[in-house]
Amino acid sequence: MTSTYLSFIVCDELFAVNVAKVLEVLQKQRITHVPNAPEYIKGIINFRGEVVPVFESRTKFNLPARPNDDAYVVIVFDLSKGADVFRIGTVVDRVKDVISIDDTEIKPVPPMSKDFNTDFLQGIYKQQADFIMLLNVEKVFTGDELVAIKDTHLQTVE
Amino acid sequence: MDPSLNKFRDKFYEEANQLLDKVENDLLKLEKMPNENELIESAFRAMHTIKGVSGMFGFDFVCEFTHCMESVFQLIKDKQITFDREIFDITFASLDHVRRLITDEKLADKHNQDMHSKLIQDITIILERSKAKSNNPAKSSSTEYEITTPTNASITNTWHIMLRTDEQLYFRGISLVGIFSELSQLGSYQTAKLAYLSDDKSDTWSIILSSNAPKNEITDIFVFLEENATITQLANQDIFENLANGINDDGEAEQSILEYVESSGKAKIAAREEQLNMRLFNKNAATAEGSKPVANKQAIKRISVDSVKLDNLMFLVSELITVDSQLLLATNSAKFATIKPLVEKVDALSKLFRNNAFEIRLVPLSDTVLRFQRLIRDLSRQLGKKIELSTQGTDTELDKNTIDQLNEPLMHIIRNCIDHGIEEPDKRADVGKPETGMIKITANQTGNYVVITVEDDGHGINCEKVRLKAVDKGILKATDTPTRQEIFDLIFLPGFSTAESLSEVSGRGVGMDVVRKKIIDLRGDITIDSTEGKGTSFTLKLQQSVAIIDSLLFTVEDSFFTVPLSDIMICSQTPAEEIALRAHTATIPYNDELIPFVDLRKKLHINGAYKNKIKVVIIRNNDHMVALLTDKIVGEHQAVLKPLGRSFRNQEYITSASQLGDGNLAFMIDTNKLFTASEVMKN
Repeated sequence: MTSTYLSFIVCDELFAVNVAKVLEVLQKQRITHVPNAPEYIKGIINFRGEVVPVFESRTKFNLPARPNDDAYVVIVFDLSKGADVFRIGTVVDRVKDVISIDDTEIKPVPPMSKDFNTDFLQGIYKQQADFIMLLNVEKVFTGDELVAIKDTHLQTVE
Repeated sequence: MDPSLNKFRDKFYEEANQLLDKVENDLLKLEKMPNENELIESAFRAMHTIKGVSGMFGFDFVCEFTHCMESVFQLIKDKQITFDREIFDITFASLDHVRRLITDEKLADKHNQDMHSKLIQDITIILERSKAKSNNPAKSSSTEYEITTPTNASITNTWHIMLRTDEQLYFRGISLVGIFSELSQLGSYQTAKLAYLSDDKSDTWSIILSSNAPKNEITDIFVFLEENATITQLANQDIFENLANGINDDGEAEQSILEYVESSGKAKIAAREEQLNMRLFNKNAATAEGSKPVANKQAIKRISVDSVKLDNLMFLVSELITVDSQLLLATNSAKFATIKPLVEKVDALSKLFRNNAFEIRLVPLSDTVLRFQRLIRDLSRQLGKKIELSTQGTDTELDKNTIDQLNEPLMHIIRNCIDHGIEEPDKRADVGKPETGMIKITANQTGNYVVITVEDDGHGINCEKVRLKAVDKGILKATDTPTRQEIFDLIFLPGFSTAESLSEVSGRGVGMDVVRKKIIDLRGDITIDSTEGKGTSFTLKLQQSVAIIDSLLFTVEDSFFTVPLSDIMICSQTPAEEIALRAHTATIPYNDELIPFVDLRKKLHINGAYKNKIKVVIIRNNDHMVALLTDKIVGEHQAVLKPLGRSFRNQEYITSASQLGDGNLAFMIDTNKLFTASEVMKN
């Protein structure tokens, strides 16, 4: 089966995500820092009338921090499950391309540097000379979110 | 069943619940005045309407069951039995059961099945008993259904109404429930669906009405349905009366009426159907005769709207307000001078629009009070106490969402009053109080705030007992000397319950702390006051609407913050050195008083330092005041609040943000939390 992916660059590395989960790519979006927020949360944005949290992909993947004046774009994902609406944004360096990838062409993740967080990778795709790391968006964000969701459940049980 | 009628069903759910509320309300009053004919009459009519309409929509169990209930009411109406405690208990339980049946129309739930057969059995016992009693010739209840319309035409006629229902009716917003409740005011009626005249698009119903009302009163009811209804006279007498051999044979009676109609021949009905079609072609001509123009006695004062539509409206309004402030900012230079008046007009209009949209969402508190009445009735009976509810100002309005979320905490408070507050009748008599305890709910509005007070005249809170318990639990030291208010505040701590024994009613460890949490989630506040021996009062302070708030905008470093304008006392300026000097006590003088200040930089971990002149915003909550240290006061801001969402659940002082004209976001500081924080700081 062939799926369409959006590729983007973080720290000179090529990544791609399934476009089915992508809502919008925002250029020059102002991000408001939230006091007392965890480090991986860059801030919040007003997206179509709702407050959407924005994560820093570099912190998430354990890559070098982003210099303050560097350009960036925000990719907004829709990770809603049924009635449970959940949108989240991530900051990347820039978006590159929209590509079609056949499932059979996806290769397993090889062992990588300990410092690089590979838990979120779904596989590797080779496009000419480039290797693109395919991300499993759900895994990238639900790691921390799961805790929060669990908390919510505990709250309601009380 | 015609699929288009599914839309009717949604309406039916809503209206049936309203009718059930009405019956419940009547019953609660009847308990105090069991002989009030008007109340019996009104409850009976509402039951009858539910029965009629539920039958039409295929809610067979509801129909069957309400029929049983109606029989009981009929006997009461005819003075063959009188209300006693048992009948009240059964009818209340039956009402609850009808509510369940409406959602479980196929009676699929095992529990509901058991309940269903048990209640029917109970009702049958009542009916049997009265039958045995009334087997004397004194049974002369002449007219089966008492008729309340003016009896200038005292001859009772029987009318036949052919009614065709289709999708159009739904789109025209015609309420069948309304029609049937009007019909039941005229007299008694029976309905049956004529299967052979119904198809995919429409259903045809045969309604037989016996009434002494003149024909034009009947046609008035169907004034909007002229082309769908044909009204003909069947007999110049009440055929129900002739057929009925007492209410207990009602089932049979119904049967024979149907036979009567059937036997009158399909040909006759087909002829009427033709007539009906004729009218469709010829409806202008039809209006000429008999029917008066719409002299609708009760003009519609309230309409019910799907709450999703209201939410959408609110969303659009809040977006409009955001764009409005962006527009104001973008046109704030000389080159836009020509369009400035227009921009200002748009601004004024959108603010009016906002206020108007808010008002639409407001619901009076009285809608909720009925449920409390019922709770008080059931619980006081269970606990063997005598309790009256009195209310004042319950027409005060609150946002629909707030009311919905307020229901549970209020229930809990009232449960507490009944269970822990008000004493048993004999104990009350011993201390010279009237045997019947009193729970009073008062509501009033000041500005954007609504204050709701729930008071009981029970034994109050024993401060010493609470203090000892707190010492016991290690919350207080034995040497501490807390003030009364501080002792009352202890009751809001998790797991703190003062009752000696935990009862089923309240005090399962989840108690007032949950209530407080809910109220704080609503951006409100709750306090307790109590005098031992006299009673306890709970005061809830809530914002009338919470989605858009007039606020003051200020900055700390490069972050924007807002505080509701209604919380602000005054803004002033203090030299940084003075704050530095007072840092160890974290208080500053204000009006001969020392008030705590909150260093927002420290509290929210914001970098940088305050400049020489610190702008101080003093906010007030009840009798407490707190000063916020800020960098710059920007001005007024209409905050369209958006929740931060679960990614920021751990935020203590910030729960929502609003967009500024330039696209930046400002955080609303939760002042209630600040007050609890400064309390903690003080202790």
